[in-house]
Amino acid sequence: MKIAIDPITRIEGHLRIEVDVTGGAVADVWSSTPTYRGIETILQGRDPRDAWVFTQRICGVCTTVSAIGSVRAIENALGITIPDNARILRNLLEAALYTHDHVVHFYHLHGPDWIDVTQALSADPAATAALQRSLSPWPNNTTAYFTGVRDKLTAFVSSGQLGLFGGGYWGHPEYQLSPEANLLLMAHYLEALDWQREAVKIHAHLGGKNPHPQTSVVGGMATALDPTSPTAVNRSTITALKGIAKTIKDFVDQVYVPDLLLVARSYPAWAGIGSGVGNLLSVGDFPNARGKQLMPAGIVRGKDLSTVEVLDQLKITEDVTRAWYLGTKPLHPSVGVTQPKYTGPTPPYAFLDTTAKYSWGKAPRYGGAVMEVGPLARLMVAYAARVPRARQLVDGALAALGLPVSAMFSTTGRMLARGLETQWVAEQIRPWLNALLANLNAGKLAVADNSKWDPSSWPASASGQGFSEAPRGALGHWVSIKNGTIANYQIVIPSTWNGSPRDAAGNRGAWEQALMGVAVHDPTQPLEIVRIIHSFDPCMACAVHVIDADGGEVVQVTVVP
Amino acid sequence: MPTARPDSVALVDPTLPIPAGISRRNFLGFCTAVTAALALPQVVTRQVAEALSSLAASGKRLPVAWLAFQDCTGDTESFLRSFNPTVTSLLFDLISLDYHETLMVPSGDGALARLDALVAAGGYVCIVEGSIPKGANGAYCTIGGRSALSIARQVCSRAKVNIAAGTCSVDGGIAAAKPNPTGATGILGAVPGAPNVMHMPGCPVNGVNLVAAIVYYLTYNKLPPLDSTRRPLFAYGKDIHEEGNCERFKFYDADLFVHAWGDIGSRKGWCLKEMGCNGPSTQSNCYQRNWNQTSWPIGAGHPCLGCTTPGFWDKNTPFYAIHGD
Repeated sequence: MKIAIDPITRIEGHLRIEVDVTGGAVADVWSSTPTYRGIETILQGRDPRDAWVFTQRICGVCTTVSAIGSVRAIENALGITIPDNARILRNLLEAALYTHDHVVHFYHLHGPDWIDVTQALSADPAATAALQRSLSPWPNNTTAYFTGVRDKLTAFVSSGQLGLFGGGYWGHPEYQLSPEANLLLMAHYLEALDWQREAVKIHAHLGGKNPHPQTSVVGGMATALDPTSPTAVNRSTITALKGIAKTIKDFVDQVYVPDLLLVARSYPAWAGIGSGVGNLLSVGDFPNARGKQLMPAGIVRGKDLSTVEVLDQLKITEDVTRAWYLGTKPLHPSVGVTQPKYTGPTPPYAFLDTTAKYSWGKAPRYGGAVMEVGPLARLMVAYAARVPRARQLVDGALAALGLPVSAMFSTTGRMLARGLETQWVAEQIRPWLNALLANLNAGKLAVADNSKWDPSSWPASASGQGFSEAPRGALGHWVSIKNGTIANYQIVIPSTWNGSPRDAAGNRGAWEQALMGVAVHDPTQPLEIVRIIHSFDPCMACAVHVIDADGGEVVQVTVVP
Repeated sequence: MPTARPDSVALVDPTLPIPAGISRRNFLGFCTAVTAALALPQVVTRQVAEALSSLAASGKRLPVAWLAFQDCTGDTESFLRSFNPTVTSLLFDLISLDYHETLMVPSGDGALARLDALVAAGGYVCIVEGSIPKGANGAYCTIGGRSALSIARQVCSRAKVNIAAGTCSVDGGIAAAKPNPTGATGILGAVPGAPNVMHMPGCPVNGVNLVAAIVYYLTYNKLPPLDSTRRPLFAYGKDIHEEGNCERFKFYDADLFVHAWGDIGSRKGWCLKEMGCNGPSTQSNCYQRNWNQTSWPIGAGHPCLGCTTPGFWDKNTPFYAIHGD
């Protein structure tokens, strides 16, 4: 029987999954991106210094990473090296984003796939408090506290207005947490709603607001540093930021990661479900002063963690065989020819024609191979590259759960990778703030290289590329500048990789492969499918990228390893 | 930020019932703060407190449908950052967010059934995030196989009030920037007869303004006063570039300008006009309410993009050119 799950909720943007469920399991699957905006078309002819403002609006959830990817591409094209303070500030913006985004994903987006809120109502608050004390030193661990949360949830449910929780698959046999674990996780769902408001204040201090901070500019940052000025980043700003860093780290260490391990322990079967393609790609990010990335770039193939392939971005192609564009052969993004042409059914429709083109998302491939990107890719590329902290984090969590490293290729593994890298990044914020303070104390106040700010200093034509690791995975920007304006702009984004449709060879995309063969208890309540899809944390506004409505152009790209 | 005067709390009847799960002090604190945010006299705190108290006591929260179309989810993220009241208090005591794809539990048919039930029952507030594409027979944005255009027509036309949260649902926003490849537009471009439309532009809308507007509606059962482009005056009634508003205005008067990132003017907080600031043509209370209770773009050293101005993606670009005199 074929079913369409649309909208897939608790993600960024719009996603449609069509599945054929035969004999209680997924026999085939199609991932369709049903929205298109055309931001790259809109960028053509504009001032390259404005590009980050536009590309940042690709996504308000992973806000900042598409701004940073954009300014890196233009700095690469113009030969600009940013000062050390700009490097640190960009790392801080991305780190704040990772921690915020991953915590919100765990509790508010993925959480309801594991937590049955109705079961929390029958929890014993004293036993819940004892459970909390067994997990971590987090201070909200009293019977009175959990009684208060239970009463609040009971009043909410008995009001008859279930709001966001109405229509959930409550009572589904796949919900397996104890009432006390459900209450504990719901308490943290509520705490995380308040915590997330604090975590992003790093963006507001450094970029004036969140979402969409305004500070990453071509050449560096707009945020000024000055130890003697109350309006610039000064010592008291850094003290305030350290306070936020502690708020972030305490919650991650004492609430998020312990809760993640609790969920993983409670659902042991999911360490073997949703394994997916097993090919991982990371472009790496968080450079240090010598340019070495905290999380390295690389490729892992076929779940083989004994070796890492060097990433060669020239092997990236995009295929439109099954996407609503004209075009025949896979092309590198820098020479992409893109012409949107919708050939699907006229809405309203019940099903797509999945024998033909079925998505606005293209199919990126690496040397023709399907790749998974995201926290699992970043962490396991680092693991395979024998980065010590990655090894400690992964081995420690697996030992606590009694799982082999091969279990990382699973729904549980993706969740673990997201939580463990949050821990890794959260512990970097304070050292990075100390590096900023050291520069401040040493009088190193430069935040930008302004020598190429004026377009009259640019060559007649230039092209470049910029990479960053968004919370959801590898992000690449390719730009071509002619006579001071954007001639072509292309972006390859994490959920384009993961959510891709089939390619010319018929290879399914990463989500499609992860869903194949999965048992579905009740096709009208496809809890198992959304659990797996959510483990990738889809970001659909990001996934659709469209280039040139007039047919695209061929441009040159400067290749920098 | 305006601070609450202690006497405003004293105006409230001490026997007033307080919503469950919130302390009396916190409740009155947020009533006072939201009254200030709405630019209303503090004497009104009493009306706000009484209305919210009676709403909470009735056990009937206001049903809300949040539609997202061609969006980046930035307005949802901004909504989550709100305080006074916080989003938790809003969701548990004041509104029933019955449809919101980013946050709701059910997917697929289960989600759409929630929306259909809401439309059938009526009496809801509709909040729209993202633009609505009219091109390709609606195929540029579909949800559950339905076009965004048809969903907007169905849901907005039956709402008591429609709030365009963020620039995209006001005028098409970034997707409608030249050459507008998908025919993107806002609520009124898609549903010309939509009732009681309020525009809250911004990229994104500031969540504190959005929740203040919701509280106003809960208190008075009507929209706050709007300007000629349907923006609420409490948030969009004042120019940024005025003495007493932008903290850098005094440097404009003194002809002290930033000329390069990190230069002396940048470090000392001088006027950003020469770097392309759109403050002089922009109305918004960013300078007063701040973002995330912390700062605002000009405060942090970057020019204002003028994101609350209709058509700013074309009108205010190139962003770093000098705008105005």
